[in-house]
Amino acid sequence: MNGQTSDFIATGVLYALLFVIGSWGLNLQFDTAGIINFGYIMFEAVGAYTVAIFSLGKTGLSQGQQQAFVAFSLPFPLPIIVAVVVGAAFSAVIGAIVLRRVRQDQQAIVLLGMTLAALYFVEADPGFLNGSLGLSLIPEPFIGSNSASPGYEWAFVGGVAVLTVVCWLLVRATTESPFGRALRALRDNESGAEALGYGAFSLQLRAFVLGGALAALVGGIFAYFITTWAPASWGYAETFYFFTVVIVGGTSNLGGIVIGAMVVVGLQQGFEYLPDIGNSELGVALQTICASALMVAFLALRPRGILPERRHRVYEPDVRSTSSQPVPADPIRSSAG
Amino acid sequence: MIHVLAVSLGSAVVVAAVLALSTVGFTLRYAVSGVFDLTYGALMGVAMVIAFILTEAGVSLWVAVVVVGLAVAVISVMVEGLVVRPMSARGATSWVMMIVTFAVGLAIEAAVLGFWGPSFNSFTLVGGTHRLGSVEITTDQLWTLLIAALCTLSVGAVLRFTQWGRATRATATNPRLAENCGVRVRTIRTVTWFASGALCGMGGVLVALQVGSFTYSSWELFFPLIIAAAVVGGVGRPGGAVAGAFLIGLVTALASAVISSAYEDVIALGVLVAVLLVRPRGLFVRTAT
Repeated sequence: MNGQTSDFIATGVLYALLFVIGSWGLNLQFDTAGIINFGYIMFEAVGAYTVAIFSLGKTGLSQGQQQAFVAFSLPFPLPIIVAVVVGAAFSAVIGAIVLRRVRQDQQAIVLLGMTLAALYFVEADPGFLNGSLGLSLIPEPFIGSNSASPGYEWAFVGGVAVLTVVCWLLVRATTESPFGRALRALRDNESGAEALGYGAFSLQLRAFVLGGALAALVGGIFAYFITTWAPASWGYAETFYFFTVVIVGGTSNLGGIVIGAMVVVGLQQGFEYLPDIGNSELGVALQTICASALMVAFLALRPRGILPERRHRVYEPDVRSTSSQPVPADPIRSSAG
Repeated sequence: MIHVLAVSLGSAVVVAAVLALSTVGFTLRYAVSGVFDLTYGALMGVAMVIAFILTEAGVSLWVAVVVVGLAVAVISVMVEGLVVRPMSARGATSWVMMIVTFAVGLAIEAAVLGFWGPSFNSFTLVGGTHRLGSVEITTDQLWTLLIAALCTLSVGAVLRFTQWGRATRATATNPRLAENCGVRVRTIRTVTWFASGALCGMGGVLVALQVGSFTYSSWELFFPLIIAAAVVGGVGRPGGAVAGAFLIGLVTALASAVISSAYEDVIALGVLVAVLLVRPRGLFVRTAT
C-alpha cells in the first residue's frame, strides 16, 4: 500500500466515521424528536469554529494573518470539549426559540434561514471569524503544526473510531432509556403521549441539544483533521448528505445509519476517481445527482431505509399478546407532519 | 444620505418587481399543491443558463426571456408530474416533500454545473439611462420593470376575474371540496405549475440582468429572498406575495444603503426568521386561526 492510497483510505474511513456520529445526532433530532433541522451544518460549524479559535490563540491568528473576535490557546483535549459544550449551549438557545414558537413544517425553513443568515454574516464580517477565507493553520492534536505522517493519520482515525464507539454507547443509552421511550411515544402519538404527562417541549429540546452537541463534536474533529474551516465548508447543501445517510440507512436504526454513511462516503470518494472528461466539475455534479436520486428513491420506495427501525420491546403482562406490539411509525406517512 | 437612498431607489423598485413576479410563482405552487417547492431556485439557475446560451446564439434578450419562460414551465410540469404528484399520492407529509424538493433542486443545480461548468457569465445589455429627479434607471431596468409588472398583474387578473382563476382559488382553499364541485384539480395543478414555471424562468433571467454576472449557483442568493417574501406575505397568498416582495426588496435596499451592501442578505433572512417566529402565517393575515 503506497502513501497516497493509505491517505485516501484513511480519509475515507474518517469521513465515514464523522458521517456516522453526525447522522446519529441528526437522527435524534429528526426521527426521534421530529425536528426537521435543515440547519444541521450550522451546529457543526459552531464546533469547528470553536476548536479553531480555542486552539489557534493570538499567535496562531497572527501567523496566518487571520482575525477572530476572540482567541485562546488551549492544549489539545480542551478545545474539542469546549466545542461540544458551546455546541450544546448554542443548540439549547436555538432550540428553545424554534421549538416553542414554530410548527413542525416551518421549523425546517426557520433553521434553514438561520443557517444562511449565519453563513452570510460570517462571510460579510471579516473581523468576526475571518470572513469568507475562514480560519486555517489549526494545530492538530499532539503534533501541532508539524506535518502529519501516514502513521499519525491512522492514529487519528483510530482515536475517532474509539470516540465513535463511545458515541454509539451514549446514543443507544439515550434511545433505550425512559427518555428515548417518551420521545418515541411523542413521535408516534403526540396527543396520547402528552395526555400521559410527557411535555413535548422539554423532551424535544433535550434531544435537540444532544444532536447539536454531536454535530459540534463532528465539526471540531473535522476542523482538526483538515486544519482549516471556512464558509465554503458549511454550505446549506452539506446538511443534505446527513439526511441522505439517515434516510438511506434507516431512520432510528444506529446500525443502518452506519451502512448509510458507508454508501454516501463510497459515493463521494468513488467520484474522486472519475477520469476528467472536459468538465472538471462533472464528478461533483454526478455525485450530487446520484445522492439526490438515491434519497428520493428511498423515500418513495423504501421510506424506512436499508435497515428499518427495530420494534421495541414493550412489557405486557400477557405473553401471548406480544403480536400487538406497536409498529414504529412510517417516517413518510406519520401523522406527526 | 437621502440622496444615496434616492439613487438606489430605482434599482430597488426593479429588484422588488422581479422579486414580486418570482414570489407569486413560488407561492402559487404552495397554494395549489401544498408544497414548499425548494426546486424553484434551482429552476431559476436553469433559466439563467438557457437564456445565456440563447443570447450568445444571437437571439434577442427579450425573446430569450419568453422562450426560457416556456422551457422552465415545461420542466416545472415534469417536476410536478414525476416527483411531487407521485410522492403526494403516497401520502408524503409536507416536510417530506420539502426534503424531496430540496434533493431534486440540488440535483437540478448539479446537472447545470455538470453541463455548463462553474464559469461566470453576463448578458450584454442595451445600455442607455433615464433620469427622474435624482432617481436613475437604465433602459434594461425599465423593460424589466415593465415585464415584471405586466406578468404579475395579468396573473392577478386571471386569478381574480376568470372562471379558471376561480377554480384555482377553490383548489387552493379546499382541494377535495373543489373536486366534488366539478373542478379538475389535477389539471388545475398542472396548469398552475406550468404558469408558475414561466414566472420562475422569467424571474431568473430578469434577476440575472440585475445582478450583472452570474454562475450556475447565483440563484442561491436570490431564492432566500423569495422564501422570505412569500412567508412575510403569508405562503400561498399571491396578493401577500407581492406586498411581501416589495417589503423585502425595499428593506434590503435600505439596509444596503444605510449599513453596508454586505449585510443585505443577512437582513433579509433576519426578517424571514423574525416573521416566522412572531407571525408564522404572514404579516398581512388578520386572524391567527
